[in-house]
Amino acid sequence: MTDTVLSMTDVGKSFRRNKVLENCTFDIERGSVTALVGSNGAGKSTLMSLVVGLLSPDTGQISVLGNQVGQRGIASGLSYLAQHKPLYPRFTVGEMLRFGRSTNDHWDDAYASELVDAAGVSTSARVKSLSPGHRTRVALALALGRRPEVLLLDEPLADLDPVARREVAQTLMRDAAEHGTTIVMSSHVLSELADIADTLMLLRRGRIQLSGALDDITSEHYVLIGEGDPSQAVGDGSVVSEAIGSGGKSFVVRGNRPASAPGWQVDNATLDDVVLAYLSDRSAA
Amino acid sequence: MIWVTWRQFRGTILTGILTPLLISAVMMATTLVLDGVRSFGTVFFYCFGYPTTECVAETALTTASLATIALPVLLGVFVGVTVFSRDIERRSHVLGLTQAVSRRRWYWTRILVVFGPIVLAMGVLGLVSYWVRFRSFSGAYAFVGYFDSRLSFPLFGAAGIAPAAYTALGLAVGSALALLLRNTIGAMILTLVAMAAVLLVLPTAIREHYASPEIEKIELADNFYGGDSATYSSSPDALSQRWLIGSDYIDLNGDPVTVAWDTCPPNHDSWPEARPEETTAEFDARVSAYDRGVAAERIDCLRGLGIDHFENRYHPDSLFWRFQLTEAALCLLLAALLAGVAARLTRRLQP
Repeated sequence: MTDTVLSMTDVGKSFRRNKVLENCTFDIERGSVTALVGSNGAGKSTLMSLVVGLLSPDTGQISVLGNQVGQRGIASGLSYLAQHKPLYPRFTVGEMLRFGRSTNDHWDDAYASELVDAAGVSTSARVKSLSPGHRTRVALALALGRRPEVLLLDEPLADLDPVARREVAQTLMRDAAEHGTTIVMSSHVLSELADIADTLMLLRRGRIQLSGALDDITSEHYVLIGEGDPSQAVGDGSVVSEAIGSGGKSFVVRGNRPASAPGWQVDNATLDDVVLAYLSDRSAA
Repeated sequence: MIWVTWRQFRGTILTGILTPLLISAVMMATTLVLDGVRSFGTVFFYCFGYPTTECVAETALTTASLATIALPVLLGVFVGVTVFSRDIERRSHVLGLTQAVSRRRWYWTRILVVFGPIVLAMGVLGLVSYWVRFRSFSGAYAFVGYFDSRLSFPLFGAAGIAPAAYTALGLAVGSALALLLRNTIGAMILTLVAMAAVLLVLPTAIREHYASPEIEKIELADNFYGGDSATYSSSPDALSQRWLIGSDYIDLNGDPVTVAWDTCPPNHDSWPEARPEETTAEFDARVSAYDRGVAAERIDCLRGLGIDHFENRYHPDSLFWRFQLTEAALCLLLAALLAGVAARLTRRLQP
């Protein structure tokens, strides 16, 4: 029995005539660390805003920790860190922590302070004077101070330098390991998340095109290199994308590897191969 | 949540409270220090540049009164709008709306913590202004115009509970427009226009209907000259206090009649000149006879047009507090409606 903590069923959301999500369906299991990948504008932020109740869906159902998401605000047990890491610029870091304490019934002050301490941020520093790295870590401390069961992070590692990126990633991994927190984070750069995540969801054209454990995803795909029509070699698999490489055309194929493919070279697919295949324009929708 | 709202807007709240309180203090100090100073009507700026004590007092009180009238609009524009729009433009509302706080609570806490104290401070200013104008110097006057009723602009809106009620409305208009447009400058401009319109329409079109006016009937008698001068046939005290909202000639059916100013021109010899052999008493008698002749002629002419009498419609000064309460209730009702709409608009707030 899997324990689903977050799910969407046939969710659709449009802004005016622009359909951002359409028939979007997925389940996220407790304790997983999911990378939500998609190109810019694919709807990652919209998806997250829907889950936290900042937006309401046009169609479909969203459920968080067994409750339907409505207009009543964010579900308890869910924390959200928006892409722009909103904080009040004129507050000090200490006042931001007090903000967390006074706007949340369920708040772990010691943990939040410890996270801020560990980041080396002084509680008397003003928010507007913080570096992007420190700002992210204070915002993350606010999100984690709620002691969430599910943590949603929108592009958490964007615009951080490599050192800050690793420190934030470590904070997240430690929280997941120690508290079993389910984490969903988005990025348009897979490599940012590949080391942290164990599950991938790929968002394209308003729906989840690919999802599953990272290992399963790579083993379900392979790369076929050669000339001509691959349809015979592929068998009952399906070609996801084609690209022109040095040794001829290369196809990313989903399905079981052919026992023998005369005239073709069969390679293992890396995660990058698969993700790029699904994100590229020539992929089948 | 109260602490958060206070911390976030403490500069705004303090400015919004201290400005009216400072103006109250200036009004009070001017009145107390320059005790006994008499003022010369509401001819605004009549006195500017003349450094006499009276003029200092009048200038200070005039400025304070203008500020009291302008503050509800300014507070609506700069406080009502920015309390929501600044947060929305910086997108920091996302932070507030993703804690364990409902949108309703997020909205109403701001209304109470930011708007509440400012409206109360404007209430203090209104009452101080009322005391200064109508109750200081043992009920004598300070800065009360001889020819302006305190039921009319500008005295009505600068004293009593009206400034607080206008402020509540201004803040409600500003915050509702900020949540509707989610654009600071646009909301500020519309708030300015809307509140200026409200402050213009209330005294010119709405307030006179709070009660049915008293009617003063002036017969076409000996001392009647008609037109505007007819109003002066009442005692000056009553004139300075009552709020004249209309005057008309009335025909035998009781309907108002429009009489052009040149309808009944004096068809008479020129003004009598004093003759060398005449005593003053004789001359005065001749002038009176002349006046009576002119008046009689005009009255005959007016009667010929079917006119029965002249009437003034007015509200007596004693209605001041009744009108204040009515207008305050009207503004607060509107403000509450707008706040209810704005609370619903918070549902449409997006990240």
